[in-house]
Amino acid sequence: MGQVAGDSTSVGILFSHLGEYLDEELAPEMKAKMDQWLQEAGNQNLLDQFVQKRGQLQIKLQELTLSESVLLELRGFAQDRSVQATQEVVHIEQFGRREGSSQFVRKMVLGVIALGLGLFLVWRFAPRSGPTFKPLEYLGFEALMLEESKEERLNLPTNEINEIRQFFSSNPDLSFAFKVLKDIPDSWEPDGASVIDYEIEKVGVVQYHHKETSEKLFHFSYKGELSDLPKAETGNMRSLVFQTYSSDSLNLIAWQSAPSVTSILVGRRSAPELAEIAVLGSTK
Amino acid sequence: MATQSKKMMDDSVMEYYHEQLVVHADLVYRFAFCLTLSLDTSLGLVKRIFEKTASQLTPTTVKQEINTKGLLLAESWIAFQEGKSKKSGVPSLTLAKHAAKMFESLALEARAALFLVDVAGLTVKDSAKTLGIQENQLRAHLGHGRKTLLNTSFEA
Repeated sequence: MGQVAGDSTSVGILFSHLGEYLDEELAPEMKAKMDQWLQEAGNQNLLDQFVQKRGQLQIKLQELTLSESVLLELRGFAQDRSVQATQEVVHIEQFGRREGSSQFVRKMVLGVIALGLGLFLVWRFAPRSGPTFKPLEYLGFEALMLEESKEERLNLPTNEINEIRQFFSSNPDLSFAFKVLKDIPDSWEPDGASVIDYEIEKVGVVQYHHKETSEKLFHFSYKGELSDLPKAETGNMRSLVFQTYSSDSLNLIAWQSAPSVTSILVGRRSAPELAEIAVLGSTK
Repeated sequence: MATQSKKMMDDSVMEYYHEQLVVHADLVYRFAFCLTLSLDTSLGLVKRIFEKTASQLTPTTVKQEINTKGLLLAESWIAFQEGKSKKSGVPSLTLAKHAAKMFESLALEARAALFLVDVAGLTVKDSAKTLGIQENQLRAHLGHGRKTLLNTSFEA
């Protein structure tokens, strides 16, 4: 297929310059030589074949991707000492009460939700898979609880976004990479972050407050597919495809923030405003 | 004040590591696979490279205009050379098997040159720098690699 005529030196030079020839980056003299060699090579399709094989090689190698757990491990290699210290202090302070009261209260609350508050937020049906974990119900309720409580409910109360990023990247409980929103409007400041253990699913959350109005905003992420959520109105804002849900008091938008990772932004703003924040926070 | 200043610098290093380096992890993994032809060994190599790179980052480093992709691939090449012959583990039988077969038939430098230029998209100059060789040597290896590539069938 790649057989070409000519002496080995010129053939070697020919092959090694194919990329630059295609990109028209060669000096005129070299281009003229390449034109001549290509003609002498007697293979009219050489350039097309090269482009095709190069593309095939790239595609085949894309089969090799690192798992989320490995990526988490890699992220954990960069550990800010101050973050580590903060996390340890918070962990020690919270250990006692969290073990006793928080988990118990949460389980009780979930029990109540599972029994009677199915009306909350959901438009239609339960997710197709993972029927025991109902993100819209659980996270909508969680947002209300967080909204009413103070920051001590958070595992890591902090205004530093980098500490939050580190908190997630070094958290062994999460089996996915939590993508913290960046470049969101300056009027929103983080209050901190938590990993919520529902036993059937672990969910990361970052809480923000509006600097002027103290209004709260919650960014949840969990391992799951957007398509598993109940069907809802779909929006598209600058390539961010999202689904919209609402309740009496809150709006939610959900989007696929990474393969097998769904994010939900919950707040009292309108869905387009939430989508705008999600777009700003998700773009590089 | 001094503490605050240090913390800000640390944050910049953290952000740089997460947003400029870890994003290339898959590419480093693929390059490691091209060199070792083993998934297990590639994984170990990737972890070593990122651990080492993270430990060497400083606030001064992150302010420099560095081709982070080239930096990581150069670190991969060095790490592979340091641990040469560690081709342990099971060669890939399913993932990228055609690519693995093609790489196996090539000399190490030809594999590396082909990957750096035609997969990673580095220039010939940067690829030569990454491997620590002259450009004409790089071109010779690249020529061999491309010739083999053109004779490779990627069909199942």
